[in-house]
Amino acid sequence: MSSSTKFLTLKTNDKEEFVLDEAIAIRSQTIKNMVEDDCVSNVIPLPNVDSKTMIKVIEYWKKHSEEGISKDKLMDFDKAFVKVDQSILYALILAANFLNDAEMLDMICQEVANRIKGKTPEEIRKEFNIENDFTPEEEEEIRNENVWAFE
Amino acid sequence: MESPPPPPMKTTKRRAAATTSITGLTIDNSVLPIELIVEILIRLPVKTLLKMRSVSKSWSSLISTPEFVKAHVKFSANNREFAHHRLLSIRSGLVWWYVSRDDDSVDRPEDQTRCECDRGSELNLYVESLVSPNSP
Repeated sequence: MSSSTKFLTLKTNDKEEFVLDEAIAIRSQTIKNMVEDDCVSNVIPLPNVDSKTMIKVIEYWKKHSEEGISKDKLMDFDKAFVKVDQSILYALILAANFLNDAEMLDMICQEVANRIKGKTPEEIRKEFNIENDFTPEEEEEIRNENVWAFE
Repeated sequence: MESPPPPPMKTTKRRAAATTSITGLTIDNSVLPIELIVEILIRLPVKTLLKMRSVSKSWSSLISTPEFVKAHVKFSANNREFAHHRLLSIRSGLVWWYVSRDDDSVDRPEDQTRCECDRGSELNLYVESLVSPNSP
């Protein structure tokens, strides 16, 4: 690796540009592949990511790229990082998937799963805006198949 | 000494963007592709998943597919936290089983009965191979 820092410019779908150290940006496998394939000219377009989400992503990447940062500090950072509105988590999931950052995707998916745990079906419907399309009889039947799960 | 963990090996070319339209599950009015909803759901304990089957038809059918069951088993096999939860679907009809490992049964005696079924040893063998991937 060369010692001089290379920078990449990332352009989100709302036309914001972010200049980022290449060593950090290649936490994204998608960007890494582009760099390795020499597909990078000046600006890397990120058609699936908006600037609001990208700011969060970069915040995460920078923290996780800090030299010598302790595991405890990173855990605290992660905990605080996911304390955001559900809609931001979904945007982050889509971004992490597009950018192909498995570590971040894993963390955010786990957070959404944690929010589902322990909720009743009614609460889940409400929170996730899902319409109940079962008839009362069908719902009863499904519940009866696994009564113990509702105990 | 810590440097950013290098992403594994070079995979295929750029990954296709996950925007292709999908039928089905909406979460919070914005649609996540099925593959990403699966990513979330495989992290749930069996008990929660079984409850979620009564949320809606599309959620129920997603959770009930053999592919989903496989993905869940695979994920939980690598995850200590859910060591005692296993999800199985049996080919004849959709039956869900809650299986506990022997070493967990003390904690959850009521649950282990779930794998006593009329398919007997065949199922138990299957269960065994899923629950203890390292057993001979």
